[in-house]
Amino acid sequence: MTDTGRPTTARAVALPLDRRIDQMLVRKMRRRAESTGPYRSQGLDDLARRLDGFVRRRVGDAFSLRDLRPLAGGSSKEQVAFTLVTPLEYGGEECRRLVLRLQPDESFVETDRLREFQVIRSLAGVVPVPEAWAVDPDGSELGQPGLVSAFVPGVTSPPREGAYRSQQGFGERYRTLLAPQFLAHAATLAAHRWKAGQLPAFDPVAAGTNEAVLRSIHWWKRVWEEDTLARNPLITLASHWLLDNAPVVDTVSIVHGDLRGGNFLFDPDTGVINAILDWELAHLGDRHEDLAFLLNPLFLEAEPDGREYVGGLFERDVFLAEYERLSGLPVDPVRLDYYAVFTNWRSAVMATGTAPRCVVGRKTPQDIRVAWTANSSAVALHMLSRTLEEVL
Amino acid sequence: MPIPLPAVIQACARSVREVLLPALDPDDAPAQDQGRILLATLEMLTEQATVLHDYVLREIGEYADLVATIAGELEERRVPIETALAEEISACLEMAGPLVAHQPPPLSDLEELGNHLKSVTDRLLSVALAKRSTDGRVAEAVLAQARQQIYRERLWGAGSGFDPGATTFPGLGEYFRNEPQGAWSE
Repeated sequence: MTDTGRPTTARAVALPLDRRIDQMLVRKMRRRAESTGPYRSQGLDDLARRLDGFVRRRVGDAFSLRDLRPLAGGSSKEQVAFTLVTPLEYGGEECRRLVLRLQPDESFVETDRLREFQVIRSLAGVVPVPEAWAVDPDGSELGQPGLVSAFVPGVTSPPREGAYRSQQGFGERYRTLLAPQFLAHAATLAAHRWKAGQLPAFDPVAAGTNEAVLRSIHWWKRVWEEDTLARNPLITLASHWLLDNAPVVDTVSIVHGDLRGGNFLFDPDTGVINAILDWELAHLGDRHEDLAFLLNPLFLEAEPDGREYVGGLFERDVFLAEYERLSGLPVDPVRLDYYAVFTNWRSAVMATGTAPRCVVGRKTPQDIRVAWTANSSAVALHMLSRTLEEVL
Repeated sequence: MPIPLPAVIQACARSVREVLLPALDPDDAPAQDQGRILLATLEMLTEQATVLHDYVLREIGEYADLVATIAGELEERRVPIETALAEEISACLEMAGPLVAHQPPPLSDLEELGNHLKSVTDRLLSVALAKRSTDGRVAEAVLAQARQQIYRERLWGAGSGFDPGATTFPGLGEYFRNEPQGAWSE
């Protein structure tokens, strides 16, 4: 890498991190070195042909695919919905709407489809998740790594008009309906006794150590080193502080990594949460990471009467007390402060480091969306600076 | 700024070319016409944004030369100029002179120098942090500079809707005109 603001070829940084994450980042750097032009999406015809073979290898010859249609949403993956039609034994047919998530050359966040697939499968019946149907971890079947899951109906925020906002604008009606469910799911996730056998793509982590967070820091430190076009001393200062102060985890949980309003679907009529989405950043670690992210003032919604709701849904103290009661796990304010720095630092790495790299290199089919999301860089750095000043 | 402006404009052009234009109704002639003009404008802007600074400076230099030539010609021929206009010309040339004579480097060179400075600062900071040879003064200096940088970047992206505090910010023009370096504090 140079400091001239131009994308260049590989620069590997050797730091200890999960094996799959290491392999994933090596693949990213290899693609970067090999790819000379802008990323081009597969045409729908090519994709339909590959998808046909992918499905055939899983269900046999008796099926058809209908209504292949690109979906909007998200800043990192390409999404295509389609209907899988299979004959029923006693006549008629079964139609299942599915969603294929495909990984472009590079994206706002580089993640691993196999880990995403495994974590969603392992949580079926624990918290609401879309059914994970099949995965192509290395892209050998679909032309690029991809994950197929069930299409879940619902909305991520109440209907509204106007420009983008970090808040979902739940308002009193949806807050009343959604908050107790979301809290229960967050607490269940933290307390869930995951099984290593269901998560072979995740390296084991021991409770009573700070191994998990050190691996996470090394992951994002490496992303920063590989992606940034311009150095930033605040990021460096924060990464040193995070390494020096990495806390021990008491209970190793599945951490969602992006747990907030906007990442769950609900029925706008009943307010029932149908699915928690976007598990691509999930990892084994400390529940305080999800808590600190959810409590970020960026997602806070204030009512005209002055009352404030963290995550747009909860009064902070009520939320933390209920979370402790439902999960049976304590909330440690020191770790909460630590993970506030960590999550802001990670957000800053993505928005300040990775997003510009993608846009300058034209590595996604939605450069414009990634460029827009990069506007969150300043506010991520602002929150990082504020939280870091509080702990230094 | 998080992303160089030409790259943002290039992303806009790509979106128009590859997503929006193909989706337009082929029979909607005004939409097709304006879509193509929009794309061509964005493609031009991608290059223009890299040299805007150089363009304005070059223009200032040429006009300063031209006004001096005409004024000299009029003086030689003893054609009188209104005092107010003469004073205005002198004031303009006085401002333009140092800018033109100083020949500020092209914007791309300034950007490269900025990135180089960030790089050496970062490497030096890593040395200081690794040796633990400071008593917090280095961290305080980094945070103080970050506050200024972040404030400027928040203004830059204020229109995006990501920043809940953006409604209270001054405009970018107001900031650069009225807030001297190091003046801002939260």
